[in-house]
Amino acid sequence: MAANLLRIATHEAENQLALSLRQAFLLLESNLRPPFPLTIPTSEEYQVTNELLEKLVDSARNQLLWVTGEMVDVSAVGFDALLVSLLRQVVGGDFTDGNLWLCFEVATLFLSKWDSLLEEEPMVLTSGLYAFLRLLADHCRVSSRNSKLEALVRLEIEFCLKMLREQFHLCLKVGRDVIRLLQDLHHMPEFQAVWRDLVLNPTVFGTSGFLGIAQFYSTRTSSRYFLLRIPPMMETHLRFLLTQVKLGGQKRHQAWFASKYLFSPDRETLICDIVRFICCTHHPTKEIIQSDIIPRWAVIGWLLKFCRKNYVEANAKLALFYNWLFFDERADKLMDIEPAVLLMVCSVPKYVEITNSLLEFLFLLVDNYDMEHKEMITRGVLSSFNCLISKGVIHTFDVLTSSGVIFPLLRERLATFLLGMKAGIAKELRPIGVSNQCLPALKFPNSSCIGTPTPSPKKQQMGVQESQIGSNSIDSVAHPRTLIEDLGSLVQNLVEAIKKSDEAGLSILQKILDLYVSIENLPASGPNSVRSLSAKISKDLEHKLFTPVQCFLDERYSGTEVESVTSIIIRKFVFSQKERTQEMLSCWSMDGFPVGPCLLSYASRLAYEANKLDNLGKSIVSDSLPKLKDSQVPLLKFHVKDCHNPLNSNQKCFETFDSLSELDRELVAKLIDDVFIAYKCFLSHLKTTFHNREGETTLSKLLLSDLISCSKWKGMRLKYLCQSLFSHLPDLSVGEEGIIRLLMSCLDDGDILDVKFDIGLRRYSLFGENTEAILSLIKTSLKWESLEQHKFWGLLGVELAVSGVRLEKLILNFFCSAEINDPSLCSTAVGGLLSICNSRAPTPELVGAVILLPNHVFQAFAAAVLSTWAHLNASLLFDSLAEFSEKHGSQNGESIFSNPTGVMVNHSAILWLLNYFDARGVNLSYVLGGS
Amino acid sequence: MEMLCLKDIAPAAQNNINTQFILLDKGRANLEGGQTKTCLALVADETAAVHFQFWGDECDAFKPGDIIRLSNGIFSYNRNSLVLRAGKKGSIEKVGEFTMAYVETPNMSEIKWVPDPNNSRTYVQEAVISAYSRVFPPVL
Repeated sequence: MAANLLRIATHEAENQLALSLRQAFLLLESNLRPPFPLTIPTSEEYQVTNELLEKLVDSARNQLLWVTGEMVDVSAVGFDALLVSLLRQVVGGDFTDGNLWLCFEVATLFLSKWDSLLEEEPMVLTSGLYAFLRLLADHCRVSSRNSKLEALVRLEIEFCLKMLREQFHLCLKVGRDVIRLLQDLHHMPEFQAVWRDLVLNPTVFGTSGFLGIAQFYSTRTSSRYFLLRIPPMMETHLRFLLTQVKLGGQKRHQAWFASKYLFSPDRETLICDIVRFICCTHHPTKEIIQSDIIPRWAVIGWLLKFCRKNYVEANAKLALFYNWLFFDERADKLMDIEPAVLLMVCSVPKYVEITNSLLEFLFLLVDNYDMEHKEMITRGVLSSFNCLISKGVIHTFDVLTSSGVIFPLLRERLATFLLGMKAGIAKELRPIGVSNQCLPALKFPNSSCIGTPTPSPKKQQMGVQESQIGSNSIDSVAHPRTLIEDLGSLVQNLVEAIKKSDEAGLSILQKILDLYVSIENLPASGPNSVRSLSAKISKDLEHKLFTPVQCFLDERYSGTEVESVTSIIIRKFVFSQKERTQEMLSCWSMDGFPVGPCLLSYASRLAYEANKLDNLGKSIVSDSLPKLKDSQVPLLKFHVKDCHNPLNSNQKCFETFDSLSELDRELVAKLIDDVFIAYKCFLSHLKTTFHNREGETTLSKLLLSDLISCSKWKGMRLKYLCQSLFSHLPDLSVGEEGIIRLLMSCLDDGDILDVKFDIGLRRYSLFGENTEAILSLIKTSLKWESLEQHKFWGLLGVELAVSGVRLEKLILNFFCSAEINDPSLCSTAVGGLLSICNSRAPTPELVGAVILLPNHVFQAFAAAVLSTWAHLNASLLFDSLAEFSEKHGSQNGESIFSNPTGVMVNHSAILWLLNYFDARGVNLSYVLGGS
Repeated sequence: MEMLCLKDIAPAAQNNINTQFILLDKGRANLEGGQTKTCLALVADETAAVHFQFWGDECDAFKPGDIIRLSNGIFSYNRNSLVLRAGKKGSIEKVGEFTMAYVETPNMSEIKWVPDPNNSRTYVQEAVISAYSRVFPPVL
């Protein structure tokens, strides 16, 4: 009977608790028969759900759920703790069957035992409310729900609505986070009705004394609710991270944590739960705070980096600031609001974009979170600042109000805001910030504005009234006027900065680009449209923008190019991969700047450096980096560094504050590919935007024109361009006539030889595997300069030797084409084919093709080839001839050579064969079969 | 059963090491002598790190972050490198994950050991070859 309770993997130690349970079972087995003793289990005996549920075998899980129901029925002591423990085991963002099953079972339990729960342990219902509101937000976002998930969502809605409609006084006890969670659901019709009543009709909830949402706001949600969304094992790991792991040595633990809990995009939604847990539940001791243990703000900063979706990021920031909005020194805890301010302040030196985005978000919340309660929120944020200073968490806000790297408008806004604090006036209702001025004053209560930080697409499909408000609030967030104006003012400052120094100019440019990429929508016209901005920037930067790079692919390549205006713009383009950056580049390209050539040469330089690196050592591990830094890969080094820059948010790296340590071959290869892909995107954008009317242009033609421009730059080595192009953009370059002709005309013999080596080593292919395409290229090449043709045939010979192209097909088709009748035109080509054939083994197919060549001006070709083969590999030649003869022999077994059967055999070939055998006194038909 | 700290292990031809550590990093699995799969790894506890050699199905049973208990293990030279392993007489088991602090230096496999002049059956440390593992450099 004492079977295994847990699923144990190989080499996994037996669980001590499971072991003692089994022993206990053996001990108690005799007692498990009626009459039962009336002893009361202690809460420790519920440990099984906390620690083991995840691993329990299915039958034991089923029994556990069943027994829980029975315990509720008999009001067993501590059953509420058991239910809470089950709630915690349901993992957010986990759509596996086992997890959804558990969620369904627990929700069913909460609904079916409603009356007993209400009577015995009503507070456990509030735990259910918090957990299911939160889980519902995850579950209802899945667009393609199967019937199981659909049923679960219905169950969760039923439970939450029952709570809100029937036991509102209990909901009120949870406090402000109920509103935070409801806001994530306000696109669902069921909850829109609740919202309307909360705002317009608070008495309908039948709770005397409930006058409005502010009552939720003013109640701090108890820390135990946040634990409900943190499974026990995760809690253990988080607490370990925050109490045992030292700052600087946290990388491995962070990576393990991420790979265990945040491995899939669905799990992102856990981040706001973790942020809430860290801010409001895990309050470290003074000793920990003063030690070198990784602080809470650093962990939160690291977590924010995992947010890929905008609404997830906004929810995480809201979780971070939520208690700021309603902070009341008498009822709230300083430790809840401490991480946000430290994250802002500590990020200024190295990660100022985090500071900027958090400060921006905070003021967005002040202005728009709930305009009906704006005064309350302003007061809350002011008291937060006030308390943080007075309790000495930070000593001054100077770093935020006077640091040059903070956006000027944010700085001003903060300074003005803090004035309100100093003057003791908590009514900062009309700050000089512009955000609120662009919003019409809304008569309708602002429940919908609550959802503004994370407008979901569904919001726009709401009812009329809501949609009106919804769209207003969306606008206020999606067009953050302050950011756009910041961008405008930065652009205005650009020209001054450039005059001051190159560095100042570059730094402003960097900021402009960061901001430009991060703003969601820009106006289609006016001074802040893409068109005007790009024109203004190019005017200010004048000759610095997209200047032909000197010596880009040259050993003399200078480090200063690495940080040039052009390189900075290119990197931003590559890493952000946004339509907007494409547009700006296209604008500049149309204005005549050599954008394409610069992108191309940048990509090639990178590929060149990576190639060099590859030759340097087999694998690039961290300890080879010091060498690498000093060696000649300046551009790659910068590129990698920039890629790890947290600003370039599309390139999420697992490690947050990382430098070059993760560098390895695959990463480098991927980076290089990305740059070429970005270049290709640029070409496509250019083509569709500006060339579609002309219709004729192809990507390859655009590429060719860039290549031609590049090849004219001083110090440019076309060989390297060619090598990287054919390796990374084969679809645009392989077999392309224009590109190949350019190479033949520009590459010198040394370069051609290097390319031959590359082809021989199969690093890339110039001509591809398509016989028709190669044939047409050959025909085109007939008109080229003789020298070009010679180079062409040299390369083609090398490539055909290693490619899968059928040479016999090529020869036959070429000799059958009309062009062949003009000997003056074709001599180089035929010469090329001759040496190619001569260097090949006489396989049956090849011999067959030569024998069957038509009789024409190059009569001696077949004989010459056969003669060479006879000299080099006589036995294979005659085997092949025999095979050929057999294949084409007539029914009665006679050889086609002695008695032609309609197959046209090449005259020179047959003549040579006859002579050859005559000279040896052998009868040809005797040798070549017959019977 | 005496549990050793990693800093206290010394090479010996005996299967008598009982200890517990966290797995930091794993290399690629190799076929030793074309027969059995082996895999070199970096493990550590609060006192030291050491190279550990997984053998056979052990190679796939553990992932970085796992806390492992080694019973009757051996610390000895294998193909010129000094590794800790379970060996034929020992065993390893996963007993937890994540919740263990560790240091990456000293690395007991990166120490030059010489026979003890006073007792030729034991080894003593002569010199540090490398403070950190040269196979698994620290993650900075």
